[in-house]
Amino acid sequence: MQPLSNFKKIQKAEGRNRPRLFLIFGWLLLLPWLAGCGDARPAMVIAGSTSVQPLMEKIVDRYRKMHPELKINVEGGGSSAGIMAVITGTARLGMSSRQLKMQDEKESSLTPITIAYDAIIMVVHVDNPVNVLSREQVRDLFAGRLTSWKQVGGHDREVHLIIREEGSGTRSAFDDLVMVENKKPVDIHPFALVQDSMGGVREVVKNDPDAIGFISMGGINSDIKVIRLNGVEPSFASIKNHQYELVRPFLLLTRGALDPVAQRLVDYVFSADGERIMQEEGCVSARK
Amino acid sequence: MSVPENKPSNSLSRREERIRRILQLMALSSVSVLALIIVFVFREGLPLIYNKGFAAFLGGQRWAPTRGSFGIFPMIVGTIEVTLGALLIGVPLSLLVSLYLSEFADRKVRTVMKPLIELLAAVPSVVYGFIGVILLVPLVRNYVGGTGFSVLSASIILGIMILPTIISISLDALRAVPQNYREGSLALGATSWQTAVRVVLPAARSGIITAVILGMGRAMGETMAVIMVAGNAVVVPTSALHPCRTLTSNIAIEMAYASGAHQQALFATGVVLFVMIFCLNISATLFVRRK
Repeated sequence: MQPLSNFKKIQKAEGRNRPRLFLIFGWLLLLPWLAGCGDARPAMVIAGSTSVQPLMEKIVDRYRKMHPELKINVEGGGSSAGIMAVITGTARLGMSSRQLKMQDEKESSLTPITIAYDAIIMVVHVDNPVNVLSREQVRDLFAGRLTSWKQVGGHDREVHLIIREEGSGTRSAFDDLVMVENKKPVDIHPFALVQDSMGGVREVVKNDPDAIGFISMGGINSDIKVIRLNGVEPSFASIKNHQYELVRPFLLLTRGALDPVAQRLVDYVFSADGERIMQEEGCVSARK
Repeated sequence: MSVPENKPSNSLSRREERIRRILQLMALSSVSVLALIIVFVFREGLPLIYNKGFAAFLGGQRWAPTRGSFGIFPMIVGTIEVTLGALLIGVPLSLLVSLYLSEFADRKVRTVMKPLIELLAAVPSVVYGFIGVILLVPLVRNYVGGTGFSVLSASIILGIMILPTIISISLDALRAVPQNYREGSLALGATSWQTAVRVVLPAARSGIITAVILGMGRAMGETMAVIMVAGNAVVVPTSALHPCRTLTSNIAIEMAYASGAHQQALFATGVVLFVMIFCLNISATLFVRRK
């Protein structure tokens, strides 16, 4: 009888476990549903440029750690959508990676706050003899009109283009700042190699003597050579005073005066913490 | 004794029944996950294919999703080229290896080699990709030409990655061929090589075809290693040295910042990939049935 009663005991113990198991599974099933129904406090919405979005998300994340009671949503949609959202009042703050159109009455009614500068740095292999390129030369290289390094003062070797993936902020900055001719967009040559991270671009350029790529300010290191655009060395100073040309501003937009809650967030953006996050994200803070 | 013995057996059978139910539920839930994935991917992706037009999406050459161009033709061609390239490299190698292990190697060699080959499958794909970038890409760039990031590099890496799948399944198929086939062939005066190639190999045909199809599915679905060595340019590759982008790479590369129509286009890419892999798996299942 001893073994049998033992078996029963085990059975019983398992039987007691079962409802708990069901509970766990039940909860797992409920989780996605629960995630949908947050609390009903009105959230502060920040919407706009998908280039500014990752930066603002990082900053807001850090900010919320200090103020867990705040509800702030950072949404994408693009610069124009962000500007519209502030005009219509759906968003408290807008994000834009382009200047406001001052000839547009509605847009010019908004107050822009420049929080950072996003710079595009052209990089080549350390052994490449080319040091200086003009903006037009960079464009023609990436459009596939110039195909040999000889055409821009280098060796007689085929140029290998390295770009970022469609949708990345650095790529859209490059498209906006470089790939333009008479205000019309120019397509990048289809044979350009696509990397999905700044590290990837750097790695390819580091290993391929014929490669040229673009990264943001934060990604510069000694593995690669930085091109002086029109002879200007990119630096925090030359970016802030716009001597270096491949720069676009990151703006926050407001309609009228900021309320205290939004003002404190903007203050945080300009704090030392904010500046450090911007550096991590590869852009230059507009902090004085 | 009979009464207390009856009771537990009775509750046992009820318990068994409950266990069966629970297991059934689990099995159903795994299938329902598949159903959910299908519904979700198709719901997100189909509207875009419908809006842009079936032909414009599948046949379009220009992919600029942030500027409204959604042509995935280069990616479909890229996927097919890389997969066929991988088969071209992987299949002959796998068949020779499994023929050797099955027909010519003695048992000791086989028991050591088979697990070792299967260990190839345990190497994470990012490691294959890394070796590809560090070793293979510069080799191709310096000795063959181009940037090194190419259909060729991707095919070589994938060709190696599908070895364990094909070898392991076709080896099982070859071992399953009855011994008396071999004995009959040898008795008729055929050499071991003739026996292996003319008798054993044809007899294991359906298993080997299944192995190749499964390897093909593996090559088609691989993402990480391909992203690292294929160059990912959206072009229809007309040379083995051209860069290319596969359907899986397209999703993985661009998903990070995609929103709106761009995101839908990536789901639509998933729909196309799903249909391709689905057809492949069905044909694999059909071959297994025939066996």
